[in-house]
Amino acid sequence: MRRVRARRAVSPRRTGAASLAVGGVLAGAVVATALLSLVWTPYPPEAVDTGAALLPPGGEHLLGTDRFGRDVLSRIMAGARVTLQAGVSAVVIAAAAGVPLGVAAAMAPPWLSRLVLRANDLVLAFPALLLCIMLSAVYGGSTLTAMAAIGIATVPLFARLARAAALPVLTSEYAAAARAAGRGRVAVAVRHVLPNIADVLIVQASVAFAIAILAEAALSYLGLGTQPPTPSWGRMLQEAQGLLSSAPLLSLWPGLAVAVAVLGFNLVGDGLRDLLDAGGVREG
Amino acid sequence: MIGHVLRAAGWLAASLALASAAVFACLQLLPGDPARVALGLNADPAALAELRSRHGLDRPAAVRYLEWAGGLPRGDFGTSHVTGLEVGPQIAERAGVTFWLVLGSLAVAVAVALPAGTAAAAARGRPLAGAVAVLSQVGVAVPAFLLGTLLTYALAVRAGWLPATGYTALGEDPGEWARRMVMPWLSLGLVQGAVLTRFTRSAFLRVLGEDYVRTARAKGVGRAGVLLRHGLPNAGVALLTVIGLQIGTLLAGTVVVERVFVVPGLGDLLLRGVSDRDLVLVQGVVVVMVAVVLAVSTLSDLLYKVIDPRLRSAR
Repeated sequence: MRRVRARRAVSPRRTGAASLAVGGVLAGAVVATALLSLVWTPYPPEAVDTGAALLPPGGEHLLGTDRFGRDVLSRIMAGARVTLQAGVSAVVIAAAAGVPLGVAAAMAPPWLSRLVLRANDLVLAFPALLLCIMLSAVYGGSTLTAMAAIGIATVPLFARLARAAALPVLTSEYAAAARAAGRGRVAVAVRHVLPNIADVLIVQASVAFAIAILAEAALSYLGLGTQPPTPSWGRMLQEAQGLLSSAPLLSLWPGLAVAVAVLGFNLVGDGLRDLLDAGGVREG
Repeated sequence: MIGHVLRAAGWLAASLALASAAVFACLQLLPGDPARVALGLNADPAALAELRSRHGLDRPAAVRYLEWAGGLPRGDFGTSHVTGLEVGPQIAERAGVTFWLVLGSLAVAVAVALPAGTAAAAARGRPLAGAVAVLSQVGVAVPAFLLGTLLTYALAVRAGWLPATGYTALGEDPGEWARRMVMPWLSLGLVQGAVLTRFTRSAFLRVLGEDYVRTARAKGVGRAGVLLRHGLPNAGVALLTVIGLQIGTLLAGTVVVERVFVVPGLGDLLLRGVSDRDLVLVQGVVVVMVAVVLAVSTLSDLLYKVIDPRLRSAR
């Protein structure tokens, strides 16, 4: 008789824990590096030493030096700060504006709710990068412009998700009971809706963080984000590109740093989603 | 169905009007004085006044907006304050380049995502599925400019198979054009493919959990048959939706990739506009890109209502 071996599907909880662990290590490493760079880097990240230009990795400069003799490792470390700034500010702006908007839309009459959704779609038609480019045409490129634009472009993601997550909470019996007991709309939103949608929002926050990092890196690469001499990963890669044939590793380090940071925050988001089973808009 | 089409067209028109107003407000009202942006802070007052009257900048903003927006459907995007050139022809000249960049990248993305996503769903719980999951997760995290740089290093610097940068027009020499577009297509397409793979996989998995799939399996339809008959159409609909949602990211990606490989498309034009402080040019390119995003997402919305009858009665 042929024996059928049951195929055991890996449980989402286990993959979730694994994603969270790997993501936590990667994202944690980026955060730790940024914090460490505040107090210590091997060399001052902006110190030019033309005598030590384009040194290969190893020796006194672990990752080598760029064409101005600046220490690449120190610059990567300091670059983590700009990256995290972009992520944090984008998530804070987007959550501060998007969550109240989404919850209010869920509580509003249907026509108003639909209007908010349409407005959302309209903002979504402006990709973060395009919004940044537009703003930098007006104000010139800077970390601040980049952060504001990425934040604004992320608002619809939070608004849409907060609304979708708040709807089932609002129709629940305890929300109805709270309303019947005379609690105001705002009180219900704060006491009952927010705690219940927090897990979904945390998942979204880590994904939005990753998107913001990518957008900031792309902007700096285009020369429209963080301006020199402040080190940023996108800018470093752009500067290294002309030296691709003589010093290819110079392009690799900052690119790798971006990929590690994005991967880390994406994995944290995925892991939390599986663990909390905060399905919501699950894209796999 | 006709009702759906009309309603979608109505929303699209309204969205286009609002989006163009937002772009105009951002680039013409936020800077305060567009003439000063064009001529610089230390501009001669007479020159400023002359520029203002030549481009009608002394008129109310609403009038200027209506004049600009009214020209858009005719392909009239106004005249640059900086170069004095008409913006419309410049956009028309570049749009084709970006169009082929987007189309080629989408082809790469779907060619990667459909087989990879299908395989991952079919091999659920086995190493292959894990490998696809890890690879797509990494792919999503790689910025297009890093992939472009790595490809340049491997295919141009080391192997010498392809030129690192530069562009040949399609009409001039199609073979050379394709050779120069390979790396831009791959840079944008592989990253996008990683995103689409994840969606394809979960669309397949969703279907495989359905009752009608169990019924099909019970009556003797093989695994492959189920994947083909039930999985593929659903994955197709999912892909269509995601492409509709991702078109904005894709267009933003062309700006970066055109910079990496020096491809003279819309993104390149946009960046030139930014560095020249040519607000009318920036305004024109942005409005074209946003219009494409709005049109494509409306279209994909409608298309999946055509393909999937269940969604028609949704509202």
